[in-house]
Amino acid sequence: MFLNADEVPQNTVIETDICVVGSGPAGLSFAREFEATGVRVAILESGALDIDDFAVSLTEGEVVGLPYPDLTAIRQRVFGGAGIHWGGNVRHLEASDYDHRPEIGREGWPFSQDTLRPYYKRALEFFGLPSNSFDRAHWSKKNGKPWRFKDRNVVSQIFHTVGEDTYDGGKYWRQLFRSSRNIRVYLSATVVDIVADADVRRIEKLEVAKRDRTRFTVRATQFVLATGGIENARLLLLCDKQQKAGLGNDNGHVGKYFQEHLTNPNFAFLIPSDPHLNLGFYKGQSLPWGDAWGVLRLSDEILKKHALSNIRFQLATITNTFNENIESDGMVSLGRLADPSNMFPNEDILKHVANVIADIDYVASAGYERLTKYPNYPMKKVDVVGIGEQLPNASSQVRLGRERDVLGQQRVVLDWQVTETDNDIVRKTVKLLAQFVGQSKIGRIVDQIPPGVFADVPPKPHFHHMGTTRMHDNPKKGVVDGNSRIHRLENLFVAGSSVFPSSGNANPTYTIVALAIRLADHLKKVLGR
Amino acid sequence: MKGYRPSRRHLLLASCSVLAIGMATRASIFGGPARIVRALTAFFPNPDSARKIGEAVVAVPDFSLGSGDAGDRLDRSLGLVQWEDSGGSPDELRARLNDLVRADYASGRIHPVAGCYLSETEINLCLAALEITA
Repeated sequence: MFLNADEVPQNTVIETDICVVGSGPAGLSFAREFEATGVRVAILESGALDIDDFAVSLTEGEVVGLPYPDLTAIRQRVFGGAGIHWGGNVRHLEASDYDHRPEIGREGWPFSQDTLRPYYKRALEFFGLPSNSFDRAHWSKKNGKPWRFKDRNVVSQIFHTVGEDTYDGGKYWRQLFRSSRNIRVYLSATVVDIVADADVRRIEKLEVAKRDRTRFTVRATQFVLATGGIENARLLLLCDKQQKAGLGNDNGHVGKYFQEHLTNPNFAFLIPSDPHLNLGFYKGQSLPWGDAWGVLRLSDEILKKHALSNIRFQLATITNTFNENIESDGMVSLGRLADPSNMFPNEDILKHVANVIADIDYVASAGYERLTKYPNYPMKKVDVVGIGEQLPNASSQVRLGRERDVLGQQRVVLDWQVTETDNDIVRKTVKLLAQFVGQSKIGRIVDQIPPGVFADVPPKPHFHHMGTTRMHDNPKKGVVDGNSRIHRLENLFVAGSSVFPSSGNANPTYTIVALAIRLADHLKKVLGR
Repeated sequence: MKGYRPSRRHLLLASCSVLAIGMATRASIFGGPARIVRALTAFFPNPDSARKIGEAVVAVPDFSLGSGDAGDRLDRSLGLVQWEDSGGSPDELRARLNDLVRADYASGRIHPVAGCYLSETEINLCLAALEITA
């Protein structure tokens, strides 16, 4: 059931069992688990059913540190939240992403991938994906075999892209909750304070502002913050009446360790040794729910041996990797090499020569055949895009600024920072990829990373906001425990990627939903359901 | 290489350079024994490309693959004298080159040349091509 908060009389006190703040993928997938259970759930969404200027103004903030788009453009304060502009990429975190990795200064998760496995399975159903979605053998048969790397130093994995026809954040959720009898969605309801008991051990109520700035109150037995990776931290920091540093911020971790997925659009390109190199596994294919396509990454053993974070290699994007323009580069080079008199003296020689050098076996035999007998056969140049894990560092953070929004709340400041370790890892990773690609006779890698890496060309953000209320069983090292409960507070939980202690290279939404389902199961037990 | 005078070693180097890079050469450049000419002409003729890579290597500041010139390094690693004494089979030379390149990649002996990661053997071949034809 949808309700407009502006129609709730001032100073009303709403009683419910669970109060969820935010209606993005985390909050809604959590609430969905309570549909028809008899548990009363109130969802407080600051925005409306459609994007409107008032709500957008509440997302304004300041960007310092690395360049980042306007914060109003990359966050959606509307029913459906980030699900409205979600790209639809689905893959789970790898088992090693959960590990404590002291050699790269990374805390681990309080549990292993096995803990989340059943919830990932349930989340697949949520996205309308089949149970064998990540079965490499299955997709090898359908899409083509993945490349074979010697000693399995590079592994191939499947991603899915869920299309809008399958998952449209707004439409799907509207249909689901419109008829719900026990889940109420309050629109245009902005939480401005979280009030705990005198000992600050248990949350008693939320203060909610309407657009006319008058307020009402929501009391519940359990509270879940699901406002996004930036806003979760902001909201806790704003609640400074009972704890000066902000609620749940006893050890100063709220807002710290902001992580994004780091992208180098010009990471590298691959000159295949064999023009017949099968790209099918990585190009993927269209399916009823969207696309299934492959990526590469260095093996866990290599990541550990060389102290690296987890970067995936996409063979360009699924929409433009294999287009005619890219292939035509190879054809142009090929034509010029086949007739050296056509080569312009001032051209980038390497671009052409790299097409020829490839693998000795190939060039010395098949290459000659191809060049002489099939001069127009396209030699592919494959763009390699690196998308990877940012290591958590405390200087990368969100904090409160001086400016205030129309409701009197301090706006957020995003200070995104990467470290020299992140830069070193990118440099090492491209070299290792080049080594394994050459060793496996797949081709040669051309490094396009600038010397200063991210200092020269800032990473392209994905709007994946992670780590600002990170999970750790030790309160001195994290904000929430293994059940996503804020340390010291009995009944305040956080849903969403802000709890990620590490980010892996997978898009976060799938893991967000799996965690939300797990949290729902946990609270069902707490509530005796 | 200034003052170039063809020698047996250089002729062999020329042949392996061209073999490895997938380019045979023009007999008029190298002259030499008939078997080398036969070996070279079995491959694609484009020595310009090898030289261009060699030039790119030379342009890298402080780039070094060890003592001596590229020809010396290849002479040692390929055992060119023994190769010729054993009959000078192009297939055997190709196999030796492949073994060296594989070993380079397996042990990470690779370097970016104008961005393109190449093995030390490949780089030596290109440098040798530059030395021989300069």
